[in-house]
Amino acid sequence: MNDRDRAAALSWRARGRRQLVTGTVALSVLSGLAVGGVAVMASGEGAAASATSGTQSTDDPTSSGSSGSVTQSHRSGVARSSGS
Amino acid sequence: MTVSVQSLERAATWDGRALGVDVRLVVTDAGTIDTARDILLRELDELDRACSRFRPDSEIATIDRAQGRRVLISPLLTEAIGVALDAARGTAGDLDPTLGQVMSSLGYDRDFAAVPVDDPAAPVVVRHRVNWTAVELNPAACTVRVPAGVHLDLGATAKAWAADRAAARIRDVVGGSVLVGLGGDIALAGESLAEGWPIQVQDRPDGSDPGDADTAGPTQTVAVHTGGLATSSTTARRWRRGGETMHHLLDPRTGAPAVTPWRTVSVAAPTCLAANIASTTAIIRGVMGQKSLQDSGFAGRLVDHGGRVTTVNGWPMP
Repeated sequence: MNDRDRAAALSWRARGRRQLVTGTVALSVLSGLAVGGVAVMASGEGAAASATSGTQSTDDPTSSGSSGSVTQSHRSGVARSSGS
Repeated sequence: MTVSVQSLERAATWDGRALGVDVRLVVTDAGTIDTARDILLRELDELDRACSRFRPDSEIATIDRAQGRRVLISPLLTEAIGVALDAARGTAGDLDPTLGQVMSSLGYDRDFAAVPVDDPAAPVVVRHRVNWTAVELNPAACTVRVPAGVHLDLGATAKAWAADRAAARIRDVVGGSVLVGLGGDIALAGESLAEGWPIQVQDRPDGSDPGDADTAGPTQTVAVHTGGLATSSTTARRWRRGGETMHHLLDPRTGAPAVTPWRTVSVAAPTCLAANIASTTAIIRGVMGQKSLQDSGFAGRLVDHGGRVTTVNGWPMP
């Protein structure tokens, strides 16, 4: 990870902590359950996007979370979440 | 205080099948995998004996046979029902655990692997006359009363809750970092990984072959640091009954499979249970699902039936 990526990740994690507070409140509304914390970073894009696929984000593009914090990684997933 | 950061260099993985889904267990200390696996299997077996709709010897089956009488149940099932009722309350009833009989009437009345792919027989129409508020749970006494004719289905919450429980239990015993995956529901516990847990989020188009990468939809690998990640999908469990295509995410307002623009929704949240509640609710709420997920504050990824991806709340753009 280079300095730029590291700075982006730290910025993202800071936002993640803020989201944790928001998320905790939201969850208490959503399900009334006690919670811990979560953070997500991108680690690469898989293959097989369909020809009709596109991606859009409803995040504020000027915020630090949605675009500037993505950390590219070529690690393969240790688990898969494909719906249940 | 010393902060320990785990890595996957000495990790070990175990794969199996339980509760009708694929199970994956990963521990960062390979020497603990056998102990961790035993804990996981014990947890899942206990849950199955308590909550299965398909086992005649399960506690849920006992409640069904009670025909409206109050029943003494185990602390585990008491907690599982409490979690389901909390989820129903928190989603204004959109996740309703009293849809068991409705689900069975649509053809999903046995382990999904045994459900006929295309049964020409028309489904028996069962009206969903009561809802979750009719369930009388006494947590202190470990008793429950369910109206006669109403069958509980804890499928919307029990699996994710079980993943959280098992991951925490394994961490308590073996330490390190733990990942428990039950189908699309993934729970993490223990010390953080330097780069997070790399998890592939996979969408499957309608009618695609799960084993065929060429027919897969948009996929992305994300690193999740703590909590859980869940993916709900209308394509994961589909069958046809009486010429109609069914899926297992029912809209309690209609008693039918939810009509929704989303085929797959993935959510990362502080717990796997919270993630699962949010992802499933987003699908059931249809056109309002995206706003619902935004309001939850959790990072999420929604895939519509055309394969278009929408992300909310900081879910990383690929």
